[in-house]
Amino acid sequence: MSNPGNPGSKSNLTAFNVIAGAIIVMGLVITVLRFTKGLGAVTNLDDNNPWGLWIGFDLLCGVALAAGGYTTSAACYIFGLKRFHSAVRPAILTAFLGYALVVFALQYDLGRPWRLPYPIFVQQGTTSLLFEVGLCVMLYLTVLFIEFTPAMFEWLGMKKIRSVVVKLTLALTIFGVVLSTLHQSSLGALYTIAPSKLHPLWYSTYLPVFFFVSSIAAGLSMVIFEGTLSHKKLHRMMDEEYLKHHDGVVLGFGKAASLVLFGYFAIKMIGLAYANNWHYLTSGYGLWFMVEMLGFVALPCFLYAVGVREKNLGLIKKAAIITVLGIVLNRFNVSLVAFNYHLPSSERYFPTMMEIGISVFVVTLGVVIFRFITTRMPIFHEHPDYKGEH
Amino acid sequence: MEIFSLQEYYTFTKGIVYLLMGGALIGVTLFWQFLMGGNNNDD
Repeated sequence: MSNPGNPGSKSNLTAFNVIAGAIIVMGLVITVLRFTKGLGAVTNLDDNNPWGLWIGFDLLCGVALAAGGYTTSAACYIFGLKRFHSAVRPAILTAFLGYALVVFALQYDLGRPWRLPYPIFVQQGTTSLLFEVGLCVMLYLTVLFIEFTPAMFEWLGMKKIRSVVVKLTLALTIFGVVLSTLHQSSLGALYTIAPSKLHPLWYSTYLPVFFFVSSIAAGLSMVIFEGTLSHKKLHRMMDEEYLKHHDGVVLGFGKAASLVLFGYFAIKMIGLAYANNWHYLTSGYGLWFMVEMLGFVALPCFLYAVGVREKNLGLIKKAAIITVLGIVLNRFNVSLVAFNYHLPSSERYFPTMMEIGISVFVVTLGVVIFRFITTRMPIFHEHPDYKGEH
Repeated sequence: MEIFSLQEYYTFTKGIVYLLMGGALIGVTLFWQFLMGGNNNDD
């Protein structure tokens, strides 16, 4: 293993940097178009479809996949599973960047970014779910930033302030779990306002529960998935301590994800029975629903279980990828595919290339910033001055 | 099954929900046994 914490002195002209640079330039060009010519110039949004890809992917998927932060820190600090400690910092960083980019991407939809604080500090719509989501995201982003700061203070050598922040860990974790429970479910609750627009197979009065439970599976799977990618690309930044616990984290999170997916499948079926929607299963949308439920919930649940039983890490990592894709598929189905299902195809929404470009730009920004931070700060390794402390 | 009243509708749907709940409770016990079996005996 090379020296963790040293980004190395390789040339900057790598394939990753060139592709990421090209995507960022493209994103900046579309950003200028969006903020100078308006939504109509870059999106296919209209009165029937005011929420498109930027809400369906950047916001709904971004928030769900950032759930690794509260699941990992809750496992470690609330449930006392200290063997998962090595996964906390990468998970917190992923969650922090995920939420920061959710807020960033939301500006493309909202416009006028300088008015971002208005709903919280100037004109509170206290009866609106969106207000609750906005408030929770603002508070949770702040919590995640504070939870992330010990790594930054270690890097900067600010020992005193670091020791103060570390003492807040348990309180921050509890606050983070409460806030996540609130807004993960509220994102699902947003769609309960449109029972006539959302297909009955996806609409349910239990949507808040579905969104919250699926976010736990998403968070656990994302930690495994992100850890796998980091292992391949950032292996040089990992110390013995991180590598020693990595397999245990994958097995433990795989076991938890398997149980959560089992529960999620069960409550989805109960939701189906409660609304007596069985007859829709034989329609085209029904087949698509079955693909989601069997291919992206039941299958990874089973693969996780087999992987855990046989201690097959490769199988668990495959199950994590399927689960992450399944969460993305579920959020797309709720917000795009099954939404406005009664409209003729000519009036249905499909994103423009520029909308897709902005989503790719946002994800690329996240990856670049994650790489920048992990190659400098003690995320995958312990800082030599704080061995065994955090 | 033909349903003619709200009473019948709820009797039918709640009946199915209760059956599914019972199945899920038994299922999760069996699934737990499956998950904790195999080579995984360290925790």
